[in-house]
Amino acid sequence: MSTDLDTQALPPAARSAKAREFNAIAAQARFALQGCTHCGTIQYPPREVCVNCLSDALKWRDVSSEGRLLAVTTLHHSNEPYFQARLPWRVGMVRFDCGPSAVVHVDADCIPDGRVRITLDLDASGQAVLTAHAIAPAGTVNSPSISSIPGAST
Amino acid sequence: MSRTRRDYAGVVATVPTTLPYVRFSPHSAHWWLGGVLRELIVGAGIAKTDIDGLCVSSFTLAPDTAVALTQHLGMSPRWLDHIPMGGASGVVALRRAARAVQAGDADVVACIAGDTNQPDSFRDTISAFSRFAQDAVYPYGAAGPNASFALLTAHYMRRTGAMREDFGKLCVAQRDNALRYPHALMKKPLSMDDYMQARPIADPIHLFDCVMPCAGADGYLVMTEDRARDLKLPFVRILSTIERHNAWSNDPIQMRGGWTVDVDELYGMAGVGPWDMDFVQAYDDYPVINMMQLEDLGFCGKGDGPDFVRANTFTVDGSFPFNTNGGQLSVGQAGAAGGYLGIVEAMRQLTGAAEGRQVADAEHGLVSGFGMINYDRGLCTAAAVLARGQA
Repeated sequence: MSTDLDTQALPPAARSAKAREFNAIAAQARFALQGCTHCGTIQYPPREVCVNCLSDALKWRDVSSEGRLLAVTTLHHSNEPYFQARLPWRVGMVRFDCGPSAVVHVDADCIPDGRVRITLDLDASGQAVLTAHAIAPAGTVNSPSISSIPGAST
Repeated sequence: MSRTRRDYAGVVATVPTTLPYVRFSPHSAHWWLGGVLRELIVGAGIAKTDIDGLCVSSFTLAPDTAVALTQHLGMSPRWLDHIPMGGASGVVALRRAARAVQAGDADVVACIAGDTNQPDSFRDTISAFSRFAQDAVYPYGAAGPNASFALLTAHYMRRTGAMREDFGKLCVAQRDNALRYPHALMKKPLSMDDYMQARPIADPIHLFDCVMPCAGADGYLVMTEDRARDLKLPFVRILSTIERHNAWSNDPIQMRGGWTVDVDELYGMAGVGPWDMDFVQAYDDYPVINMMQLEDLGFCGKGDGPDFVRANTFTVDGSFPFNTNGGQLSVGQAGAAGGYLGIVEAMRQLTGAAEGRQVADAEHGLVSGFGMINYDRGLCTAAAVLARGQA
């Protein structure tokens, strides 16, 4: 790995106004997604209107932060200096138990199809991001076969 | 309550044209689009003023649109369209233009797509590709489409048993085809060993699963068959077309595209089936999408893509001629022109103009398009069945 990597760089901070509302949720240590007060749909990414009924009566609703990891990849290339200095980097796709799918950062102990808990945290740019953490299935707590995936890193 | 769709009788596509691709270009998108329009006019033997319809696709034309391009290029069309559908743009332009000519809203439509490529333009394109990408994808590793397709590929492999070698077989065959296409940027043979030993980009995506961004432009004309005959231009007939956007939005992760909604209509309207196709030009931004198109367009069952790949050969002279100019994986991806690469190649194959890569006696061909990873999946799908015309 080269030595001139920019460790001072920050992760991408551009967000829409609706997405920035996530930052306040993260700062309150809550886990909430956009919910429609008209039809009850939970949606992600944040929108201006409900993806189902088109109502604009949307509120941040506290929901279960658990889901399933559908797929995971380890990045060996990035277009941003912040991540270039931190490769390899794991990201994945989760499906929340409450419905929507999301792209997330992925902890090293997560495996595809495994149950995960997703946290909402502020990253180095002060922007809210989602991270998946493994939930060990009953009877396999601290299983070494799960916790020692070679090459995995966040 | 479905109505029968009108056919495209009397309307043809002609003059497939490519402005040769380059890795990087100091010129703007306007230069590429103006250049391919110039070549279309020369190729057809008509005047710029004969073109009264214009259809444009480009990612790097901003802040301009097709409107600004009319003034930049000194045109006064009576029909104008701007199609921001990425890899579906070529087929969608064809179906829009064909209806305009058929209805008499325009006589000659120039369909053009082109982009420049400068060292920072690819990052600029992907970091602000869409609102959802900016809000909910780019902050997670900033890997652009490589990450999105890595997730789709990883999921597809676990569900179907596809191996890296299966994707490699398609990539190797396409490179073989590209060696016969003078405009391909990749000039060296690719072996399975090369493919397997390439450096990882985003597991399971490795270097040769990725297209190389480049600059270039492609275009074609749509006009009446009578006009094409008057101009003595070889042409292709349009037997059927489909498009679909944001299909299967409740699928947790993309395993199928919108083609599956419309595939029966595609072949029903064409009056021919998948096995009547003499070649397929699929949209190959990543090999997993090739596999998905083979399934969704009826060449094999859902999830049977890997077996289909193992049972066939995909070179120009193979059992299933596929992406016969090498596709984007070996030609390069010139932005929105990537959505035109299959259609101009299909037109060349069906007019006997494919030179050293001609598929023998090609009568029918399928062109498929796929575009726009707005968030977690490609939203635009399109396909067309084309047939050889007689000049």
